[in-house]
Amino acid sequence: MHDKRYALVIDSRKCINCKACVVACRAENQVPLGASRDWIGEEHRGTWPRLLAAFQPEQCHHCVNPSCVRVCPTGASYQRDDGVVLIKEEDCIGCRYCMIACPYNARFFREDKGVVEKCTFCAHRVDRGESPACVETCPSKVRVFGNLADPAGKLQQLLATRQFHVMKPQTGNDPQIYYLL
Amino acid sequence: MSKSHKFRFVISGLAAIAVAVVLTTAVNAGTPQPKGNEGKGRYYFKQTCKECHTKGAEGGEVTPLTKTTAQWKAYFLKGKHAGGTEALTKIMPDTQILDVQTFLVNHAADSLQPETCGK
Amino acid sequence: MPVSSLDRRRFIQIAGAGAVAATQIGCGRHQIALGQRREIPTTCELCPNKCSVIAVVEDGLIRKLNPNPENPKSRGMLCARGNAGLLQVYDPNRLKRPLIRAGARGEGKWREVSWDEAFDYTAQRLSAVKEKYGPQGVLWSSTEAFAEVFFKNLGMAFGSPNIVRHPTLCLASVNLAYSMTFGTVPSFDLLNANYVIMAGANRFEALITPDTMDLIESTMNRKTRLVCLDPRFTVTASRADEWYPVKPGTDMAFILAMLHVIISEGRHDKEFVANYCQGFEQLAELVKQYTPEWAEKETEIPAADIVRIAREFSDAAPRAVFYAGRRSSTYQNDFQMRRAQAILNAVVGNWDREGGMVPNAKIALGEYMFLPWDDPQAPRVDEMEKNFPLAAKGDGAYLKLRENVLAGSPYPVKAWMILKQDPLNALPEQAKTMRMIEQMDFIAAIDIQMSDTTWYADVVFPESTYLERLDPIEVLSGIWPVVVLRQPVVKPVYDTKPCLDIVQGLARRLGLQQYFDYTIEQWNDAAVKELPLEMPLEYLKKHGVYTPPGGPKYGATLNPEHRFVTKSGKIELYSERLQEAGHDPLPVYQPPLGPPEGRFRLVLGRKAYYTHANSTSNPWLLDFAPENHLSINPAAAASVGVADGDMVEVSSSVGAVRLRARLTQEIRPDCVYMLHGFGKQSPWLKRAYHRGGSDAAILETAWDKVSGNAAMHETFVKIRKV
Repeated sequence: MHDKRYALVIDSRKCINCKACVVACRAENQVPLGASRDWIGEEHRGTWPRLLAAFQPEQCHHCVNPSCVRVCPTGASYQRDDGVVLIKEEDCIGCRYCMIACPYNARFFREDKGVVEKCTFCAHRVDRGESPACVETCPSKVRVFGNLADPAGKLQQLLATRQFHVMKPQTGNDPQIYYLL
Repeated sequence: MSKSHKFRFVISGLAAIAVAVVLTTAVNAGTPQPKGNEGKGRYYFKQTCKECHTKGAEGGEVTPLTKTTAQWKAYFLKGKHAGGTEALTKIMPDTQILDVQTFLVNHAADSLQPETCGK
Repeated sequence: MPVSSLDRRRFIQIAGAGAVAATQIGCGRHQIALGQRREIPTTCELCPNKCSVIAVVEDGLIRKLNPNPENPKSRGMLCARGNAGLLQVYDPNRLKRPLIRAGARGEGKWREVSWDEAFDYTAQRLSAVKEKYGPQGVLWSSTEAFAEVFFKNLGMAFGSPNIVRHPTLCLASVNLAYSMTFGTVPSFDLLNANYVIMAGANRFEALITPDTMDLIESTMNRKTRLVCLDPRFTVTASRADEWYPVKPGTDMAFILAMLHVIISEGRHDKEFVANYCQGFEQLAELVKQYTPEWAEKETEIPAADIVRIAREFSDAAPRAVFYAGRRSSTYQNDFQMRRAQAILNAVVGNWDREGGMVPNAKIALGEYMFLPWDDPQAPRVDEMEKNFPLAAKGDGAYLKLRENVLAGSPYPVKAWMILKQDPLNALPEQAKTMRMIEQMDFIAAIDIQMSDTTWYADVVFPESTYLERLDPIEVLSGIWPVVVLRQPVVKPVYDTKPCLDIVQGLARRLGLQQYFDYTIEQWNDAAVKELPLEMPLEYLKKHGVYTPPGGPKYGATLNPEHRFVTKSGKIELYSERLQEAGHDPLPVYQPPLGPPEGRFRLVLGRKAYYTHANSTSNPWLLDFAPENHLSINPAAAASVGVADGDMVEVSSSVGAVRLRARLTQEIRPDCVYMLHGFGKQSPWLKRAYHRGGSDAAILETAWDKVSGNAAMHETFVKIRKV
């Protein structure tokens, strides 16, 4: 096991759908309008006045077995030792196999550049010792970013004390965003 | 005594009568407020009075909240400074006294000064 | 491609243009080294909450705004609009140089002019109005801004009594109600409260500020109980432990019934009431009639729940607060409803206690002592003394002011100077505001964008955006106040100026320069002089924020010697001042009018990605809601034959707008809702232009009787499919 495995723990209960993370990501990564690397899933249920509303932040799950990397014919999609899944823009031929392979719909095609892009966990910021833009800006601190390989780290602490689930575990991708219940 | 000094006394005299009314009927609505320039009063207060009347300084801290409306009015009616030992007119020209009085009365400890949002 | 989209290539083009302009304006003195990355702390201006940000500037371009964790209030937070703030600088449709109207008003023909020409022309027009109507003939209106003080001072130095600020479109009723009760407007210690009641306020959705963060922290991490009253199922309602879709306009009945339960069961803080409050006996007598059973009929909240909430609330006290609400006032008795809240908070003894309601701590900023001017000769045109004798006179009462200006009574007002405000969208009854515009001989506006009102101005002064200018230093007040600095992170991209420069340019030509004989640096030097720092300005430039050590303090006023700034020196449950002014000295309930057959009550609200009416043209924000909708309950929609997505006409007695209906379960069937800030008429607001409808067009004019605050929920509308 590597000494670093970046992952996210998300406490959706605290999400108030304020979109700060979406704009922060757009600004940080110059994501064009019409697409987003992160978004908030919304669910509204019930009939007046017995109602429920739930919000769930979503983005690339930086899976342990990323199907997007497996299907990439050029090796443009790859995984770093610390678990971050990235796309080498210069090697991407825009075939979009990865978009179909991703169970989370986390990838989108950039018409202007002819390449696919997605969340990078803000690797450029993380490598400088900062946290991803979405994590940093959040008013309710819904996302906790950290190193899952650190047994004493905040992620392991959270996962040891709270119940959680991951999205679509049946794909075998082993996604690395843990949603607290 | 200058003309404006007399004027000040007339105003203060009226205020004194009004204060008496307040004491007997506990009604404050009719009390005439001094008609000086509050903005100028604030300026002169900061420039002159605050020289000595700050925390730790010679005169001890004085702010509008130090006294109630009635107390400020009584103070200016007396017109005496430094524990009643000298005339206020020795401290500042009497043209400025009414302005300072207006400022202090309008912001006294029992004055109504509703706060506003933002600033 | 939709008009609103701004792709990366275009973004870089726009940004590139900015860089060129920046170096040109710098005249070579501020050459930008390529590859240079700087982080500059400053203060956000997308809403009035003064959160601290760090601007990442690369090669002279703002690349990103990050939260500044050094600010203990905004901590590591920057909301959606705070993140989108940098687009203000690079908005291709922003105001770039001074303009003088070339065609008819509203025709959109402009002549780009020099600053000198704009100043000369404005001064000449203002002097003409002054000559004919006196200085009171010029109205000065502004909304919250750090530099608002300069603009306001120019109006006063000019000799006009008619300075009108935003509070009567905002929180004047809340502030007056708490001032009348406690002598000050306290903060609510949401971080440490164990029980919070929020009525109307929508702190998880409408506005994201430190209070929001505190409430999330306490409700989600510490299990603080949140009770929410709202006719809509808002995000706040969805996160509350209990939500009651209260019948609109009856919040006060709920509060009075809580008081009934608390007092009749002896659950009030008897020692606190005895030591600090006056008028308890009269209050106890008054609330005898307000039983929970009575309140159930008014509010549609079950009596048993009211009793339970009252008990839980008083049990949790002093760590229990009825939140004052951050929203504009709603009904014509808003002041009295806020008084009822204040009184409820008082009797459970949460005053100045951890988790309660705490008077704001002060950081005394020094003041630059400028020469004072003479008082205005004329009384205010809104006749505050007569109409709202208890209200903050310096702020004015906007709606009453508009009535009097339109009536030309007590005297004509014929020129209008506007700072950063968009009265056409900010005031109810747009048609009336338009009439006010039409009857003006002259209008000049200072703004960063061509708002709907600016569109009708005769002269437009382009202000530098908040990321391009140095502002007066400010205090972010609260339980733990901090000092914040807003400093330029880039040079102005276009030919714009900060507010003080514009004010001084006008002052010089109006012969008022002696009152503005200082620089912003001198102003700020004086402000920070007293701070316990060696080099206070240098410190603020480096950190953006100064936090006094020690953290929040509680209980300074909890000493029987303490004199509250009220008439009696105590907390006034019963107010003699109100009685003297002809108002109820205790909050007496008056039921609201219900909607007539076939009509619905229009309720308003906000989304935290739009600030009032001024950020819908920001593409990153408009992306979330490209137009506003009429939210209507399906049962109600069926009764008027409207289906989801239908274009509908929403009309009141004062106007009509068209927008699409959105059927939702999340609203009472007797109410409809629309988001503020849409239906823009200024073509320069390119992305927001003609999208959705403006609530200002259909809101009727009504105000709170004591404070003069606009009452925004008093309008009943008809819905018709078109």
